[in-house]
Amino acid sequence: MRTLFARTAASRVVGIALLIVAAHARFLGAQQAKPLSHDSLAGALDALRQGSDSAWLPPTAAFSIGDSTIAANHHAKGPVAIAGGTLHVRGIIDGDAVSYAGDIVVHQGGEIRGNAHAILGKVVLDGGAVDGDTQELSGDLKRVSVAGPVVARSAGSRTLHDLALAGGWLAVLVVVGIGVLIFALPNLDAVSDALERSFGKSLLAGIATQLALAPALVLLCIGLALTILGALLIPFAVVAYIIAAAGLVTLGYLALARLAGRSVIADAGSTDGERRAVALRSLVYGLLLLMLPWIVAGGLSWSPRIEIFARMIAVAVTWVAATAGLGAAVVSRGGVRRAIAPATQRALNTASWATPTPVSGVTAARRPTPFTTAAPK
Amino acid sequence: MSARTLFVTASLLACAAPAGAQTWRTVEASRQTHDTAAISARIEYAAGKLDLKSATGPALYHAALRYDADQTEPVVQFDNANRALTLGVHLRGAKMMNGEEEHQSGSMTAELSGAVPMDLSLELGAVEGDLQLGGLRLTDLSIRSGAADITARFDKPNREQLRTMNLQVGAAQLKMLDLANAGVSRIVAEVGAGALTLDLGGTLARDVDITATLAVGGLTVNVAENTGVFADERSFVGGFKKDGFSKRADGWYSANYDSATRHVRVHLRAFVGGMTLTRTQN
Repeated sequence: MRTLFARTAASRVVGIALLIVAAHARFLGAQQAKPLSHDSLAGALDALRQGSDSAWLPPTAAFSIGDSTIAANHHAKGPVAIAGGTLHVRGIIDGDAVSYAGDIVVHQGGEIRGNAHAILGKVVLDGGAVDGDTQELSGDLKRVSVAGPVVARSAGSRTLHDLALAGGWLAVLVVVGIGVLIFALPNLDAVSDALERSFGKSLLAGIATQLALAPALVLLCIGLALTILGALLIPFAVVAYIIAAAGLVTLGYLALARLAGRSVIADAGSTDGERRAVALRSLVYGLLLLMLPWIVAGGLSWSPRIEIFARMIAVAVTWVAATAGLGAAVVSRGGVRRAIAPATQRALNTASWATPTPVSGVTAARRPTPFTTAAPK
Repeated sequence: MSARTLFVTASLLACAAPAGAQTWRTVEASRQTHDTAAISARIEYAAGKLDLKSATGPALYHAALRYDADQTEPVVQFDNANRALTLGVHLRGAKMMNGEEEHQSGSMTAELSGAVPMDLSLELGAVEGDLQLGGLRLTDLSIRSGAADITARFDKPNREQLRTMNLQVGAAQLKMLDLANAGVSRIVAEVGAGALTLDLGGTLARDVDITATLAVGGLTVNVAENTGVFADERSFVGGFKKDGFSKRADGWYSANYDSATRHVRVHLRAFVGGMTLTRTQN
């Protein structure tokens, strides 16, 4: 049951809302009815000059306020611009006619030998002619929130930007690499071993994988589409497939970086802590080596021709690294299948062939001799 | 306070509130026809709803564009020296539109003169378009569409011979209907992940050669029963149903190919996807 109080409250709320609507409408009305001055016209025209195609807009000083008429048999040199009134054209305007908050009426015998632009108004052909375009612009003409024009960077600024970009990528890769070292070190080791075992085979496997990526995705989708339930899984399968592919590429790239870094750092470390430190250092050095072409290309941004050449080298290096890494990641099943590196295998083979006895040797022992108490002869 | 009162109050306040950060403007532009020399017309429309048809009056063109001045910029230009007309709306910068903005995107209505021979090209982005191309005097037609949904029809005969029709379909759907009225003799189509329909039903004025390259898209060709069809198709996955076709040295021929007065020849290269051929009665 509604009380009298509730009804009164409801009426008050509706009343306040109506008042807000009325106030807003009056505010808008007052804005529109405000008499046009040169200052307000200048502001309005400045807002329109934001557009790239506003060359036709004459300077504010060229506008006359109020009605204007080009008399019959009279030639006026364009542009003829008026604001807050109607431009009657009975003669000829050699150029453009522009009106703001007013119409352009081209009467019988009148001619505009350029374009006719009516801003917040109409172009009315009352027997006359416009040789060029007729344009009527209306709507919300306030200043728009357009982003500033693109400023051409100086050579120094471009170089800094490109170097920062390359540095940023390096930092991201190092962070990802640390994550892989912490959480997926065995996989990284296995991919590194696969690369070390046969770089060429990994590269070929990488190229083959790249070529097979799209068809495999299509076949996967087709396979899923064959079943009603599977069809629903297609979007998830596509996303999972892309993530898996990106993961393999990243793992392979990091493995190659680590391998490259290991060639710089000779010391493998003896304790577990040292080995981890060496692994991190070799990864960072390797990434630095692989990113070096990009950093060099960024540093050469001041010379576009040399930069293009350097970037081509950087792209080639990155592609080879990513492809070989991808191939190694695929060959090693994402680092799950571990194979022994050739150097290790060689060492093992050599040692086992050359010395059937343990490498550490056998503890020497005295040959047993018969014991006698008889006196020497 | 009842729910009705709350609803009324909310509605009123919503009406009173100023519109969002969009600045909607309208441009109406036109130009009178002074002669019948051929022009080159180009329509570039980034996003919104597009209606195109032949002009009824003496105007060379008439265009009405509603656009958000914060995001887009209108282009209305006629280069008198080169007889080149450009109409459309460009995005300012490389802004991406979100769903709401796309929903509230602008519109463009364009009318082109049917009195002037015209080479027409359309470059369309996220556009929902209805193109009534009948009654124009098209000599060449090119449509490039991104994520668009376009239906183009020649509801009236084209008043010139359409030499070439170039169609590039991205992730879009493009339907070209009543092409028998277009008088086209050569169609070159490139389909990415979209769907292209070519309706060649009705009485063809001349033989039509279609060269289509499909990535993962689909091509539907509708041909009248009495028209002979030849298909030379190479596809990785897909192809087309060859019922009623017989294989000869260079491709597949429909049973009535030799006896037919008009022919449609399709040269199809497809990676995944293929052609669907449908027959209509005359």
